[in-house]
Amino acid sequence: MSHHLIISDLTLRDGNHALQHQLSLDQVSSYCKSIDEVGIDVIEVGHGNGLGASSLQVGISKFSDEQLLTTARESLKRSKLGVHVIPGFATIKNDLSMAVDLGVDVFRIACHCSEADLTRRHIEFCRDNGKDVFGVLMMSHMLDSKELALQAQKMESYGAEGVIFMDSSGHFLPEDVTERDHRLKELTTSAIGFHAHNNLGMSVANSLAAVNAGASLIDGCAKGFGAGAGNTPIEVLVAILKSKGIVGDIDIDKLLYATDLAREEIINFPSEISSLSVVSGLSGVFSGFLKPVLSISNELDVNPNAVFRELGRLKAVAGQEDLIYEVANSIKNHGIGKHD
Amino acid sequence: MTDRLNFVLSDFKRLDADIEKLSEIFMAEKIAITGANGFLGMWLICLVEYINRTKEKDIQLFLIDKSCSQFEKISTNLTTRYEFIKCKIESLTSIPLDVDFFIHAAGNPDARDYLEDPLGGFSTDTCGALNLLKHLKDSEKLKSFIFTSTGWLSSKEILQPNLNEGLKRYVESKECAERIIFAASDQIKLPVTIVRLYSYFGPFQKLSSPWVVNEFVRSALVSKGLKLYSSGESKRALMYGADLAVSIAKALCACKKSNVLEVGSVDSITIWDLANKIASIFDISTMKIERSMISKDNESDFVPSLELKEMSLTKNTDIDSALTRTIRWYQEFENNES
Amino acid sequence: MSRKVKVAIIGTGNIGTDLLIKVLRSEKLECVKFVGRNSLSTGMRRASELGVSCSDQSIEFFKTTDEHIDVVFDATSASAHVTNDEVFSEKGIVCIDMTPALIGPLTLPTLCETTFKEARNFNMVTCGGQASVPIAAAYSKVCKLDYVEGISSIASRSAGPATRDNLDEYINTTEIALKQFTNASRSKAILNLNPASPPIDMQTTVRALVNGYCNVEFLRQSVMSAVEEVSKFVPGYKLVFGPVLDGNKIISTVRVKGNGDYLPSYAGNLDIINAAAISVAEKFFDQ
Repeated sequence: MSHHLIISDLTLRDGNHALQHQLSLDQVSSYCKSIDEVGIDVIEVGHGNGLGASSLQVGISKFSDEQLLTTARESLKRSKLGVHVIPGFATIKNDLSMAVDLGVDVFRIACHCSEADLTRRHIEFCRDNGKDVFGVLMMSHMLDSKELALQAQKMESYGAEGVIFMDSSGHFLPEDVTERDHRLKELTTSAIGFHAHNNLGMSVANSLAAVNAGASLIDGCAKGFGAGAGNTPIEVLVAILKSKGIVGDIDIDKLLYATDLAREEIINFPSEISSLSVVSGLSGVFSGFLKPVLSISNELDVNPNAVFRELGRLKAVAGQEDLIYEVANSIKNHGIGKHD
Repeated sequence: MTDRLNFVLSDFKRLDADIEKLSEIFMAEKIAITGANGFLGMWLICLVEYINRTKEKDIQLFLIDKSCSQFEKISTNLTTRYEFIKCKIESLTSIPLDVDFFIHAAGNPDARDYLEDPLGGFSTDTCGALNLLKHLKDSEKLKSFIFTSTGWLSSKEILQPNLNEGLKRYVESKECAERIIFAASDQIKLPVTIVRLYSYFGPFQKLSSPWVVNEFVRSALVSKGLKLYSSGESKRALMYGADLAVSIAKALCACKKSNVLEVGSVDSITIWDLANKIASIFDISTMKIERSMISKDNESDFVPSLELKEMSLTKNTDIDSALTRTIRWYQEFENNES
Repeated sequence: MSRKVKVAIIGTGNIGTDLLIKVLRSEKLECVKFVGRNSLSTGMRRASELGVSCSDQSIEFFKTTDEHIDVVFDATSASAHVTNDEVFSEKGIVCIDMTPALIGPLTLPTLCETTFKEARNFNMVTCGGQASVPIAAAYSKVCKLDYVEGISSIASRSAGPATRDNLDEYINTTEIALKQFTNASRSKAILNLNPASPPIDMQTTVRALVNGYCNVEFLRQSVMSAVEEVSKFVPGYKLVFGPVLDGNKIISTVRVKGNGDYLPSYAGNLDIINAAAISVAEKFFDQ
């Protein structure tokens, strides 16, 4: 069986986070048309948090899912069109049905790494409609590889053709990725994929490690465009993969051209590894905590790095913003973090 | 529009030659079936009804299952006398002493549930078996006891480490149940036969089930197209429900004490050929078969490994007719329900 | 009513068992039967320990019983409820539906005046609905709303298989309730499961977009009053943030700590819908 490596370009979805979800239809059309000539397998488009996520909670997008996807669909002839779906935000009736009808090809159903059973109905729906469907496990550093494999197996049992594990906080080093990938491949029969973040400057190295360990799906964004420290720069990764003969049918010149175009037309500022990105990456803390940690640390006059380290130790997850205040307070009072 | 019972009864006409040979069953007074509301249970109930009607017998049924949702849909038309005990097999409190034949088919066939609720699955297989055996000790009249297990236990593929954890648990649970029942065969002299099952399809199987025939039919109904999520090269031995029921009845009559038998289709078909057959049955002219962008590794065949000649029928329902019947069943009875 | 309301509970999982404990504590309600499918389930065994009469015949019990039952709580599942309610209807038993089946009117104790003469099946919406709709309604009392959004975060441990499998129905039902009780033209509900350990308490944030003018002081009073009303039957329901009016956006957050009757106190999501259901049943006593 041939192991064709599937490359997904998430510029127009994950990159949308850095634009506060204000991506325009012109930007979608322009990028899709140029990336379509390159030979990338899947182009993912939409709000940063996926289908149906436009909300006051995470940000209202400038254009509706329907508008963004229709524009992308018209502009892509060769590459497949994909969407990111988080059950709890997206429903089958309102969101997935629309995407199916619009001709989206690939559906990636995502959840926090320990909650795979939330994805069952959505994966089954996509299967019944004959779509390509994958599961995505976010914040995957929070489970050890055996537990992660069990969650992947659940997704596989619902009908996901593959499972992509995400390093949402940019915490992994290459050896961590290799270990997880091997374990997942050992314990499942589905394809395994990886999505890196660049907090520790490891996105390309981690992605290569994943591919070498047998991953069949890998993600990237133009110039690594994304929130915070950014994602894997797709042009760098693909250039390396091509030079090693791992991908064949990709036009590197056209890829570089497309990403330069993105730099001009879409990317408002280059991704940068700030000091806080380093600390949050090392502690494995959800990147959305950046702003609240900064502001609360400032208010209480404590070192934000210390707050991050403690939050990482406590395995804080998105939604526990109130814990930030408790931790910062504790650091202020005791001069050290809470120890159990 | 025919009702469900009559739809299924007409499938047995094709197999009448083999049914005629089930003389021991004809002499039975009472047949007990656990998992009566499931696929195999329902087909067996209909087989007994067919025998009672066409051979003018009066075989009674003692039926156990935690649900009677499917049974209720045929019970009003049944002429066969029956008693239905609605309970979990672990909670069954008594079994009539006049049972001649016993088919223990209770258990969840969907390995995925062993990922979501493994304790429930283990409980049914092992505690359920132990509880049942407690109440069978005094059944002197019992001629044959069949336990339906899984063909995976005969398959070498089970040794592959990357088999889904749910499937592994399912198989190990069935293996444990087999051991318990074999031990009973020894200790309480129960006339036991283990039957290992493969792949079946047909009426009484929910359209939402995850088996390959159901997936293709569902997909054809929903999206008017079929998608292959694999290379299509792996093989399945697919047997129609009517044939399964008659094969099990045959195994009951043979009463091969302490034997392990395999019951499955002698013919195997690739997933690709199956998809094509199903596509051609639907009268949608543009039914297309697409392949997925991912190519899967390690696709396993699931076909019987032992010689089947002993248990095979003289004339099987051919797969094209069986698929046509199945699709018609779903269109008539299940399309609006699931 | 001069005697206690005779209630039954069908569905002996977490919700059903927690309801039972609350019924036993109520001065207006009396549980005559705790009904399920499996006499060995944890809930059934607990009920037996408490001296409550049980049945493992599920809906069959209601078909064949001679016992007089005024109200039944259905804590099974949406699909089971549809068939169960046919039996309850035939027998003239009022039903409080804990599932997202949506047969009867959406019922929030502080917002509904539907009497038992007008309906006999009351749908308790969802846990997120019981937490968010009173706040959203409080907003709509003092200004016109274009859009209202409720997001609930609940501990993963308190979300059982039924919640996980019915996520879409949960969202759909909550969105309908949000629109119905605020007259907003658009609504959105989001559910977030949080795997943190120790488990977090339920937290619900309600945001809205205002059309026109909104008086901040009236807004505050309206929200505080709504919170007070709900906390009469859910003591753990507290306003932890807001209401804040920022341009045309309103935001406030409530936290729901459970009573710890059957489930631990982090399961405020189950506690709020159950407490609301008890409150509705007790109204039967008052009518």
